[in-house]
Amino acid sequence: MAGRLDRRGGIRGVSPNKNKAEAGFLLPLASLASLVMLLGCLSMQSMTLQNAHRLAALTRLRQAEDSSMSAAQQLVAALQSQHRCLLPLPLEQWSTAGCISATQLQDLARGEVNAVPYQLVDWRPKANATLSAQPAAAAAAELLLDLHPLDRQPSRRSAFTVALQGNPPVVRDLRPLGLRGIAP
Amino acid sequence: MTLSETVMASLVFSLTAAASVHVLDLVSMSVLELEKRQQRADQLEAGLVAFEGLLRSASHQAAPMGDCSQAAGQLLLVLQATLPAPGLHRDLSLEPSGQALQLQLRVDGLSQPRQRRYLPAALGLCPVSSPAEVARATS
Repeated sequence: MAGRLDRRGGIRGVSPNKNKAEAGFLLPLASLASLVMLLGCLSMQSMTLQNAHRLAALTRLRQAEDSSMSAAQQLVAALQSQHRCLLPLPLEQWSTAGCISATQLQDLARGEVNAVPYQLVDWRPKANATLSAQPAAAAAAELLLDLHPLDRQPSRRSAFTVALQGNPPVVRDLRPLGLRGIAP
Repeated sequence: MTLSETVMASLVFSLTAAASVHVLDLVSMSVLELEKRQQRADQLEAGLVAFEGLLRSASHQAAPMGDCSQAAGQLLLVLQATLPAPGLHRDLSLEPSGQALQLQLRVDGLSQPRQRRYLPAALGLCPVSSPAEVARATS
């Protein structure tokens, strides 16, 4: 350093303003670095929490899929075993089909599987199921179900396709088409 | 720059660095745990998809029957003869009514199992009453 110390401890040839600026730069710098480190850690922790929430939501979704599948199996089995006359008809014609009473229809449309209530929303045979006169004709119907979980989870709507065969049709298979969002 | 300022700055920095290292350690452990749980959940899902494939194949090969309890019993025998994927525990049983199969699929390290019910009637295996219906169902 070229300057000499004067009586007041300053350096001759260096301005007092520069001295003031240099004094006390370390603490703000350390504070700033600490703040950056803490913010980085907190953001990583929040990302981890977000991932944990996402995984929990995925688990709930898969459990809802399981309950929906079980409910659809129960409903389609009841149609196949006790109410085959309804298989070729869309849901809005079931009450006037003449082969099921109002009480039976109510019992069929609402049920419970593994303590989770469900409700039939729609049954829509594709056109060839209702019109085909071929004894071995293959057709399909779309089934919509609402699942109403009791543990504060939203109601979910699921869709299924039911393979039908023959005239009058019988059930051949049931396949999930996936969740269709939150039920209204 | 004074000595006290230097001491304070290094104290602040070292305390924050220690806290950050601790938090990062926790975060990395959580990330690893989450990844493991995700892998196990995916393993369960894959096991379930494989099981449903087996169920469909078995139900397409089985002859339709008049009695659903009999159909469920036969389906259970066929499915129990197959082994689940390594790491998965499969519990397949007949419900007390005898009309449905109850599947419970578990994987080590994941507390919640996957559970589904399957009814032979929903797979077209029963009930069939006439020979014409049997012929139609098997065609």
